[in-house]
Amino acid sequence: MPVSGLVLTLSANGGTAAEAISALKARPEIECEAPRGNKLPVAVDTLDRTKDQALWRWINELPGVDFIDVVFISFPEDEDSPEVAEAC
Amino acid sequence: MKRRDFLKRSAMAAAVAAAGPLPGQTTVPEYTESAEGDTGLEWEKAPCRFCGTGCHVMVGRENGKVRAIAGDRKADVNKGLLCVKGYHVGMILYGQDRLRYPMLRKNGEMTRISWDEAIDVIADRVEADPAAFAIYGSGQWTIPEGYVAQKFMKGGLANNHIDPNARLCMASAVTGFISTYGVDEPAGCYQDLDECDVLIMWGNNPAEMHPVLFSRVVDRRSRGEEILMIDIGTRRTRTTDHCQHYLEFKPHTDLAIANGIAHLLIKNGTWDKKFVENHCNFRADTEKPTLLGREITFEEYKKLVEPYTPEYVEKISGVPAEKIRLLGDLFGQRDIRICSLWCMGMNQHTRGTAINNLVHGVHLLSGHFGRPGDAPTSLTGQPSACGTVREVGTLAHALPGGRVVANAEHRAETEKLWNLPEGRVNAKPGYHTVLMWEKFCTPTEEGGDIGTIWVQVTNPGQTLPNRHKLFEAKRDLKDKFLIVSEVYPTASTELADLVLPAALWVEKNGVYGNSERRTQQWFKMVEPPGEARDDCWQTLAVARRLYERGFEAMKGRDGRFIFDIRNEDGSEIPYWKWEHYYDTNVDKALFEEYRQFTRLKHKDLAPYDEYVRAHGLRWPVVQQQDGTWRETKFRFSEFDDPYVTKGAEFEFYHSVTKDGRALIWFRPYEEPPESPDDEFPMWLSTGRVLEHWHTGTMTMRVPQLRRAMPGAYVEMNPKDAARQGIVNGERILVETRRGSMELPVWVEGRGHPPEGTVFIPFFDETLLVNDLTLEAYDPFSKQPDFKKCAVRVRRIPNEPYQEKGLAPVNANAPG
Repeated sequence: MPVSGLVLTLSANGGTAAEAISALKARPEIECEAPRGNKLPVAVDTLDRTKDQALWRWINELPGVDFIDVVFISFPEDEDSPEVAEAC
Repeated sequence: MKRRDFLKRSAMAAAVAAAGPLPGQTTVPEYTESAEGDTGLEWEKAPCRFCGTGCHVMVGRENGKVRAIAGDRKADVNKGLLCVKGYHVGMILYGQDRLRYPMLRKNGEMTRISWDEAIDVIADRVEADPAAFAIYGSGQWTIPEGYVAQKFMKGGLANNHIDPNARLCMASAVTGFISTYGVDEPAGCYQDLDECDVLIMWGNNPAEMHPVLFSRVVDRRSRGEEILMIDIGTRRTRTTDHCQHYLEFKPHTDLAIANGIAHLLIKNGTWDKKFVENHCNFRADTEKPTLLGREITFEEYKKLVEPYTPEYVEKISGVPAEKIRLLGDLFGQRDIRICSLWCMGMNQHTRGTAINNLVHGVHLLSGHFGRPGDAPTSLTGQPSACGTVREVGTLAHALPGGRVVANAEHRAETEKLWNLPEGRVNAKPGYHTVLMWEKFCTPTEEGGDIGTIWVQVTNPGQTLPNRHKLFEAKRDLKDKFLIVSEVYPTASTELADLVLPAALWVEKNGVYGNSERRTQQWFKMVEPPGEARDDCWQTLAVARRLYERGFEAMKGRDGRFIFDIRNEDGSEIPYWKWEHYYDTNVDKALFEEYRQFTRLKHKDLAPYDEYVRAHGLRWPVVQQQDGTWRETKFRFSEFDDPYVTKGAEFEFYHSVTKDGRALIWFRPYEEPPESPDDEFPMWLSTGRVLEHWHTGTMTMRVPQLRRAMPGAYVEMNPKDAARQGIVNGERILVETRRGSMELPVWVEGRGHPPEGTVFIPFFDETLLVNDLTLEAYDPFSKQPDFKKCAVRVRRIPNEPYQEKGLAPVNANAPG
């Protein structure tokens, strides 16, 4: 269940960027801060890694978001084994 | 407040900090204060383990495990940002199949042995035939690891058979820099990306391979700055999507494009006469090409590029003449700043040195050099390809600090600094990568004079070209012995006779050197699993065992161990015993010794402790009168480089011609070693993907990354696919003259190859594309060309493709 902090680079097109912010705010897993210029700080808290990955992809494809940078990620202790075991 | 809420608050604080202050605010909160105070995590800095960008991460640990990763906002390289791989870097430590114990093949079975026995086995192999012993290393070696291996081989065994995997990724950049400026590595730095008006990617895909660097440019554009971006490539990528111009060229013809720009600069009279007259000489190939070439005049150079008219270049390259004129016009403008970026596309090329020379030459001829934003800049794919390979000199012909074994003065200096008997260092270069593995895979009685290779921190079983010939052939040679130090099972450990479990990333101390000459240090933070141990210790332990057996090669001129490290009271520190390895900082002792080598070529490094305090420093790092250490962002430019003579404006102080001038080369376009023909009618190109780093050894253990890109595929142009009736997801047979494999097809996937070209990534150990690739290499750099060879694709009769082949397509569909 990763918790992550992302910085989204918003499109120069104000309208699309505003729509992107609205769409992001509508997702319960995403918490948005006020944009800093073209940068939008967000925190993401998902129930499991699959949802985390899907959400990441969804943001990546969202019109109005030009780029995603990751600034923080935590991997709590209780989730090491099953996922990693599956990977190997 | 729950721990999870604290973590979330920390995540948001980090994001806010990286995004910058709100309008009207001047500061933003520090995320680490919040994180440390609230979650109990201990935070420490480290460079990211993956590519050559050199992003800094903050590693949060708890109860002896890495628990969180944050971008380091204080780091100039990434300013707190990370890419999707960096995001998951902490998880690479915890795959459940980590190698934990030394394993020796006995009667065909891998059997657990003690470290003591493992060290003896290696020492026996060395003693039995030191001239036939080789080390194959890596641009992922830390600087101390590479330095130790280098000294062990060149100062000890003296056969010079040490070469790194970086031979496969940036050797042509090295020969390009050296033959242009007389010294290796880029003059500029990442600030060039922040200040350029035009960014030209030459066969480069930074949006996927160096995403944090690329985001600096995308960010500028998002803020309303105008940046013209041009992708000169053989296949559309995510980078292309951001570019105003895409110049698609036929593989191998980038040399014609560069010569076409030079032609236009001269024809239009827009070359920078002052810069060229004051700072450049001209060179062309001799009849038998050499790295020194022959001196030519500007008039001769002009005649040589004369044939490369836009129309002629279009005929060779397929790039429309108007686009060649666009490039010529841009380089002809003095009031803009142009940055060229390249990586594997120009380096993995049998004319790799030549195209590197030509791109440098276009910048020099046009004067687009030496101002922030005006720079030819190569990127590296590995975290210390620059630091450990290019600076420590772990290539078969090199010595530390830009020295070479063929130079008697360099050998003498090295022997003095290493306290070796005179004449110890061998003047004959060792075997470069392809030759080393060819000799290893050739029967001894047929001239295969490499009997043992010790592989550290790399996976040649997956990355060598023409794998059947250069790797798999060892399987039948019973007297050959392969040692592999690794963290996970790989294609290399599968064939190994001795496997040594290695510590990974923050399980050990380390120092890396990134693509912009930045040296970065970190400390060990967590314990490695089982009996895994530092690669550096492994080499030192073997050296010590040999010394204790009386092996002369491990003794210096005074009879002392060549890796002698002592306490302040003069007593020897027994660090070769694992339980004492961290009694002292071995990295620091080795780094301080190595640092003495760095002055000759003005690659000056600061004392180790300066790097402990800093977030990396770019060499030359020069001590100021007040005792502080100052890094250099722009080499050869008077305004920043303290080694440039006052009043010179620019000075290439290691000039090949010893007159402070750089060389503008003419290198002609020549045909590639293998081209499509009737039998194999298409081009095959290979490369990387965003989610996986190189052979996937680490990233395939991260579930998110593995799920996002679970397997290799072959990208095809829809017209080529339709012509054969191939549909998306169908498994097809891909064949070259060297091998064949079955892969699922991805049409209109992430990359878009033109008609007549297919692309296959190399990260998947179950689908080894290097069974197909060509081992032909550049004559100067010895770097193989992984980017092009002739291939054919065929449908497999009765293939139930719809079920079997769709994994990569589905995995990448929007969620």
